[in-house]
Amino acid sequence: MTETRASDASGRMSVGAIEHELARLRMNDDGTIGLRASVLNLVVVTSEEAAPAVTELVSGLSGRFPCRAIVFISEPEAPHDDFDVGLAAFCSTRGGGQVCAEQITIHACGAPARHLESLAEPLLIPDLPVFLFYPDEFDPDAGEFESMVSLADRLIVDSGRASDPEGFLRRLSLLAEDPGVPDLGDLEWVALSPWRALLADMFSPPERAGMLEGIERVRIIHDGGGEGRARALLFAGWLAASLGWKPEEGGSFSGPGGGIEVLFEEGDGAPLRRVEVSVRDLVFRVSRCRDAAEFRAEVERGGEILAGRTVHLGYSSVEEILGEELQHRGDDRNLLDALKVVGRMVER
Amino acid sequence: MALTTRESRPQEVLRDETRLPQTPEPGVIVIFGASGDLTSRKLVPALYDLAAARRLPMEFAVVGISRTTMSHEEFRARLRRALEEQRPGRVSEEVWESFSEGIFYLPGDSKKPETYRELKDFLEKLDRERGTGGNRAYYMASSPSLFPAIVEHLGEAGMSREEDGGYARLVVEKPFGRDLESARALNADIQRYFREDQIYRIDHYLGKETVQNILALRFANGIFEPVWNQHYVDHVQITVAEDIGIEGRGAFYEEAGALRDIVQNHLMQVLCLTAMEPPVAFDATPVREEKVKVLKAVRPIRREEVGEVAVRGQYDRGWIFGEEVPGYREEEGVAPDSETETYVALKLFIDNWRWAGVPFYVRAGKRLPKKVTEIAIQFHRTPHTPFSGSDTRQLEPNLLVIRIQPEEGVSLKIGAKVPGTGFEVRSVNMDLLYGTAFMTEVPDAYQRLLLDLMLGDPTLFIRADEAEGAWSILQPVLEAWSEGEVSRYPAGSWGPKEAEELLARDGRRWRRP
Repeated sequence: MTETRASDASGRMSVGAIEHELARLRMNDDGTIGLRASVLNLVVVTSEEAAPAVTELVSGLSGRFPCRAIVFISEPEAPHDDFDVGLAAFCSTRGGGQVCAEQITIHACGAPARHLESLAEPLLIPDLPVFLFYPDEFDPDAGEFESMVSLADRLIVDSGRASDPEGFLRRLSLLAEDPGVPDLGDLEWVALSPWRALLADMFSPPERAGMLEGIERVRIIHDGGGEGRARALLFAGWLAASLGWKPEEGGSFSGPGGGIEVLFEEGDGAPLRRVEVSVRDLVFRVSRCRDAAEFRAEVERGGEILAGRTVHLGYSSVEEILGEELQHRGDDRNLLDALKVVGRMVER
Repeated sequence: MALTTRESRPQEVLRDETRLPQTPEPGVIVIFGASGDLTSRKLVPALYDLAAARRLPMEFAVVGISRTTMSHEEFRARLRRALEEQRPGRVSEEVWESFSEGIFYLPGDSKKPETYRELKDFLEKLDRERGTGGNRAYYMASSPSLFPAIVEHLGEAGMSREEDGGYARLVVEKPFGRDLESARALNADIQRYFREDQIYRIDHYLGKETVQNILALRFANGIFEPVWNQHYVDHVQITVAEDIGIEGRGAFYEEAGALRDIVQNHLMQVLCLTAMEPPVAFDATPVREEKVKVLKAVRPIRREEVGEVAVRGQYDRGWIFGEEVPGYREEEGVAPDSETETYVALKLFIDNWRWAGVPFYVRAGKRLPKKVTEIAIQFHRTPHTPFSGSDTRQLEPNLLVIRIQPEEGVSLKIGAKVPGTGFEVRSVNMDLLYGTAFMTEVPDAYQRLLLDLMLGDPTLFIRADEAEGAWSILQPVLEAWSEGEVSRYPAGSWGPKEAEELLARDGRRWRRP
């Protein structure tokens, strides 16, 4: 159970005033200051429309990831220069103790919006990792991006929110190679984890050891939306990078065992609906169940199901997916390799 | 070109160790005593959770064996009902359906050889039909009296042999014997047919996240290790307190008592984790070696000094949190003149370089005021304070408390100046409930241990010499307590007065947790 405590204080505030007010919000009923158990800093750059959803996200995460979230609503093109601060604490009581996550919302207009790093830096909790999260489409060429990433240990994006996921992923593949950009995470990649795990499991038994080299066709069925397209591309990129396939003209790949046909198809339902990998007369299939709460993994031969299992979806909300991503540190080599392939696929 | 870019096994090329959890090889868990509570309340719910969380292989099966006559379907239905009781409202019908397709039942008497012939045939059939790859874990969830017969029949049927790359593992539930002699005999019985590396002795306490956190706290934080020794530590108190009684298990408890039920296993494990040297790696051999070294270093208790270093008690009628509760002798299944102990306190020394001269006071009991498990490290007083006596009269020695349950965390008592114009120094408790820093669903202990079993990781299981080492320490106490009378304490108190005296003789007292 999380309690939201919003501050009445607002407007342009000093760093000292912000810290003082946050401490007041963390106060226990008996007047003592509650201990703060923070595990990270989360810096979010978003728009005014998306800010309420981000607040809900931070509140939801506060139980698992007590943190200081600094949410920027950025309007660099606004005609006037100003910023406005809003403060809230999300406190969860458990085991006789109280843990609070804090959110500092800064609506920055004009010049301050072009120097968000100057607002973020003094508000970061020392000695904790800094996650920079762009939940919406953003422009890596924008002025504030470079200075913001210099503060961060990890950059988290959501390629599914881009209006042009293909172009965005290509841009991301280039960003990943920029030494000035910190370790990269993509929520759509996290959402692929159960798909990747289930497929990997199906090829794990020793008797299927040689089958990966015999893959002839991959079908990826998605809903045609941004998330679905991003996930489909990343899935194909991962499979190709893992198995040493090279993109060819016309959407096919060449691998150690010969040519592989990769088909992207649009269908109804979840962003990513089904993936099928064909090896000789066998089809390895992972699909979302109809009600989207579970996954089904099956091995089929000529219409007969040889093996199958149903498991939980794992992550069903942006909150859970972001939570998963916040547990990671360092480079995700598999994502970077997948992005490289996707970059080459999109070029063709 | 062969696909060996990331792993030696080509089929593992799709594995992503950073994000995708390791999945065990295909296999079967055979549960002896499958109609019992442990199977329905603990094992199957834990396996269901693992299946739902994608931690089990697709080619997985459970085979239950007991004397009760049941079909596969009846067994599944029984487990399904029990699962709903254990995970109310959290069972997915689709996941259960898929998981339960791999659950089977064989009625059979575990004392008869034909049961094992049938089982062997059935397991081979599962290998063919479900691709379980010849891997088997035999889980003895039955009465301990059946352990030797089960092991012998498995061995005689050739089922302990590992063939064609498949594994054969044996899981032994506690108690590991009733005393040193029976523990040695049990180990010898098992080792006639199973190698030690095939044997997984399970103490669910070690599967608890909170217990593993003792190691994390000690060995992941550089500030504790330098003061974790006799130079700085005055004494250690370990408490495993329960507010509940024996919960209808009178017959079992009459045979066991607190020393066998809690001290020999859970409490000794906590003692080992508290006192052990840093292992070179968090792997089975180094971790278990260090634990065994602690047990070997515990000063043997001579029979004639049991009265000075060990206290036993039994609860009488009393009050706990506003409710009157019956005495132990009034519980169902308990003899009216029972001398079984429900409380134990011991004073132990670990005779090694690190702990020379530091007493470890350990206690465990039922019907104590609250449920709490904690380790309290009391440090020496400062050799000298520059402040006057009146300024420091409220100052106590530093105390570090590692709380395991109910709320996980650490508490450090430090001296701080009282605000004001004087220079009064007073002790202040600094509490950090670090468990709440990660409000994630804590996995059930059996989930963790069953997964480790299938992955072949014995780090959190008990080795033969550990079990015997713990019994060796306690054997003189068991013998001394086989006669004489148990002290009594009212339910809701912290134990018999003799327990207070045990520390008072050393000029110390038990903390109130």
